[in-house]
Amino acid sequence: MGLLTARRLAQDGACVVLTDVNEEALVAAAQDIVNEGAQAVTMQVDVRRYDQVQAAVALAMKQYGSVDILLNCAGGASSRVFGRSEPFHEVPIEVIDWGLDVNLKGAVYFCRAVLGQMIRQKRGVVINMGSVEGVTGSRCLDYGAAKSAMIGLTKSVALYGAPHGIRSCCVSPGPVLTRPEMARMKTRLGRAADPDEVVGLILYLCSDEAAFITGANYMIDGGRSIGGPD
Amino acid sequence: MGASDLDLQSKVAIVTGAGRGIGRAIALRYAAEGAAVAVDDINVQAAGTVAAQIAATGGDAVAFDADVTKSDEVRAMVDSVLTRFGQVDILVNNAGGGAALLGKTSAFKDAPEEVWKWVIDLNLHGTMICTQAVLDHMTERRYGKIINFGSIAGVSGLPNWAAYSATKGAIISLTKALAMELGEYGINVNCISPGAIPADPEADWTRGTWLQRGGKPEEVASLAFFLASDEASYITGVNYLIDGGRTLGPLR
Repeated sequence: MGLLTARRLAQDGACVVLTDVNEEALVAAAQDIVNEGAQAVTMQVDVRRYDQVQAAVALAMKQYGSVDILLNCAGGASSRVFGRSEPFHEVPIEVIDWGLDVNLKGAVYFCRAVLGQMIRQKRGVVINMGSVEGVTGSRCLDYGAAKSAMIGLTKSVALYGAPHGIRSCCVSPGPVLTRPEMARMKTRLGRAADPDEVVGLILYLCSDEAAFITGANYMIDGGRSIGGPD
Repeated sequence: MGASDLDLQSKVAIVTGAGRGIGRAIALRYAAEGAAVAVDDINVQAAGTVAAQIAATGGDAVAFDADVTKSDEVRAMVDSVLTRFGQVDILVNNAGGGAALLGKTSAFKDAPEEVWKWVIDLNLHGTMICTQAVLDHMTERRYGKIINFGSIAGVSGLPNWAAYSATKGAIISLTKALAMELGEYGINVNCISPGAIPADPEADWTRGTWLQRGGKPEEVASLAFFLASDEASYITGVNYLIDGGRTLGPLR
């Protein structure tokens, strides 16, 4: 979803800085965007390392002279990423640290790194990726906690940024077909989302059409979080 | 999926309370995006003006004066829309208001029973009546977008607007229940909860809004357009706040 959003932002005329821990994937992605005639640069960033986060923002400033949009998309359920299936109370603490650090701390770091510049510009949008599991709870406890925290981070950035023309919104998707097994998660609409559908909402919230929307958490989950009996 | 999903070409929409403010802005935006629009307002003159404005710019619109609290009037409007356009793709339940419309804003302890029952009838029953009137058609076609209007008052409560707050909270819950019932029919049911959106652009409604301004009806219409478009097909049962951060709490 991060890459798809970057590509569509670039198609709409934005200059994008792509960051990821996987440098090979990054370079290929940026090349695709550049081949389409748009502007993109990359930096390998582990969002848990503030020096690297700061360097990515510095790169954006050096290349393009402003940071108008921050999309905090890096994340994932630690149990899945590390293939852990034991009960939570037996999960190694390093796995839980990874979950909290990548899903939450990285987003806070990036906010810390861009907000000064956005305040100077008197303009900016921060989009945080939550999850339906930040609202319903998650079998991966650190993931559920971190994704709920993204909603709180969004509200706090909204409060902090509003006097300076900065908005912040959280997008909380339900099952998205970024992986085939997501099709198994139930929704009221009886399907998982195409990644492009979530990207559409992200782009909408980034645009000036959404100029009065800030501090809000927008669910896009096929009705999964409304709960109730089957 | 792509940019082509972001328009309403060949769609038919009914927008209630479309004579002014947010409803008017939605009717104009939908028409500009290619939809045929049924412009409904109990103020028939206002509805007619909006429909004429749409027609003047090459759009397709019909004015109605159905009272959303009267099932027979609403059913007649839906029948008439179906006869004329053959389908209803989008219903926007925007008509509503508080005791202020009657000049009778007051604390609940002093609110006459007929006043608060009138508010419930207009906001909640009106939304339910209009929704029920299109459901046979939408379920049969297995397509529909229903957009309800909550309010920040339905999320946070608003003193001296107790009945209004109660109905708006109810509409948020109604949205969820209907999203559950109608998901299998391919019908999306969503709610928009605006903050302070003065219908009069000169009004000073900036107090308590973190972005330090009131919202514009066109900004709410933009969200209503996004939710009505097929770009938003995976969104159902939600309550989307558009309030300039007002529900984040008091300014300090």
